[in-house]
Amino acid sequence: MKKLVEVKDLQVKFKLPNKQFVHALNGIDIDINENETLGLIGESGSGKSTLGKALLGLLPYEGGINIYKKDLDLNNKNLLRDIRKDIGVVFQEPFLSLNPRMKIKNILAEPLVIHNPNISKEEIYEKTRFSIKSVFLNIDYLEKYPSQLSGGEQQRIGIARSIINKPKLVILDEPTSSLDLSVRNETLKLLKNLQNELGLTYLFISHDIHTIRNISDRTAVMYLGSIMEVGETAKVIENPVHPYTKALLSSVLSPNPNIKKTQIKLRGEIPKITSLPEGCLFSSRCPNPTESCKNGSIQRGLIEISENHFADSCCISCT
Amino acid sequence: MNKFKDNEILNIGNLSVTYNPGEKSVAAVKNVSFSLQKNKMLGIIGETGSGKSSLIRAVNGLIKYPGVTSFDELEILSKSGKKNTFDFSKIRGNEVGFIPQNPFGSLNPVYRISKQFKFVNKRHKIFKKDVLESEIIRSLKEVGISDPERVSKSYSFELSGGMAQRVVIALASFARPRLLFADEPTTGLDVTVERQLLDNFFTLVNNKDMTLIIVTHDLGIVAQYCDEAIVMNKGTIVEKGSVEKIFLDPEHEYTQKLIKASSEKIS
Repeated sequence: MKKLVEVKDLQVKFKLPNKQFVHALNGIDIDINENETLGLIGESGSGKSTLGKALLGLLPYEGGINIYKKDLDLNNKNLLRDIRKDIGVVFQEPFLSLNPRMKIKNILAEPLVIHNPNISKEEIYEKTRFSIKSVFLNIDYLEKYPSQLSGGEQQRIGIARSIINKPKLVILDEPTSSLDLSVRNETLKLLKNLQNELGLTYLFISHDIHTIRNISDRTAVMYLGSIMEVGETAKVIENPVHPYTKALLSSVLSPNPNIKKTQIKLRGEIPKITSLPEGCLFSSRCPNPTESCKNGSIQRGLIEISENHFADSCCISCT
Repeated sequence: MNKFKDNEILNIGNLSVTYNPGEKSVAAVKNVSFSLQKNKMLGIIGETGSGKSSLIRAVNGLIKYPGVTSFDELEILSKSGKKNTFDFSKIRGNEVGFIPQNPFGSLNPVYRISKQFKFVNKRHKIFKKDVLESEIIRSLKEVGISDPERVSKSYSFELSGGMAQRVVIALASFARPRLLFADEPTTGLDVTVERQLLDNFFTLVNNKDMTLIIVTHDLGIVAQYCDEAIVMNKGTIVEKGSVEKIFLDPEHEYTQKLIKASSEKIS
């Protein structure tokens, strides 16, 4: 398997006006393989979207991001443009991510013109037609405005825009969370089709575990800007080893009234992101933290539990 | 006056809600009739635009112009009304509680939380002044807030989403209503918080002998916590029955599709 994206010890901090720091990402190590879907789950504030934005080069970061053998350098504008050409993004709110004053054809053409300044009108027409057809919408939609479309259709326009430059990686930031159940499944099927047709790689960010289970090949669980567990989706969701993953999965309500799960409750609440707990990030909520966990003397990092299944080393030694 | 059959607490006959009456009118709820027994938990499920929120807002008399509510019959607890006449002000907030969807939209940002409880008390005269403070703390504790003293002194914007929603639930149940309406009480919250909140909420409802109507698009909540379910589509009730019936053996085509969509595997 070829690695498409390699992230090494990635850290993102934001400075607040009161001189405190928001520690959004704290040492992320993750690879994305070619032609796979990597799912990211976690609660709000766990840094899922920040990771997506960092890969796009939208945030100042420390550590290493390597996309298609190119190191992401925020000061090299030409390189950034090259890299971004190969990355598509789909945002959470379909309507808010489309300009209400632009026709669909112009919305779709914008990324084409930005990345290929010498493109001819015929080529733009050809490509917009192709991309709107590949999301199963009629060509008439090119002349419409976003407000004339339903939520599901708007999200398809978002997807059509993200694939128009034939990217290698598409970052999907909660693409289905504002859609209804029936539309959600259609959109997921569409994404799966596109992936097979165009050979795309997906980074799928979501807090809905049903969706992640359906679409991703591998799943990473995030907590407090750090990856707690990562591995093949079946392994992570059916046999979680990390206490946080267990608690998260036990909270999901099953639509079958005969399946009753009791929630595993973690003690305490998510710590303030401006003041991280000392030692292991999970130590303030861990069910049985050891002394060495609290003072952070255990080397943090992901260790392999079984084939293609990794979890945070500190938390594994605690349980 | 009431013609309630055994143990009924709510009876709705031919209720309709129309927005923008005139040429461009939109019928959000079309001739809906149902009744509910005491101490049952009812879940109303449906997709966006199916009229589920409009229905329970209409039952609380909360639809404002350009929306128009009309009904043949409406009986809620001790009050009843015929042909579009019903005095909501006597029971609202007192015998009937309403939990809106967005907690920050329903808490007043310029008053502390405790003050907002005092407003409810002033309007409905529930507790004497000397026990009021302790009653506020108690009712905040009931919804699972671990440090009620701090929360009662805070403003709404100082609270997290889950905490604010807990406060709204405490406010709605402060007057000990016998019938409680909840409009998507946990939408937008994380699963771990959602689950804790629902557990607290449903113990509260069970202990206090309340009847609950919950509107949601999350099938899991209804399947796990409710006794009965109503499925709505395009302003009408497509199916009503016990949760087991609706989720395991649905009759209507739309319900079957909806249930299938929630558990479908995409290959």
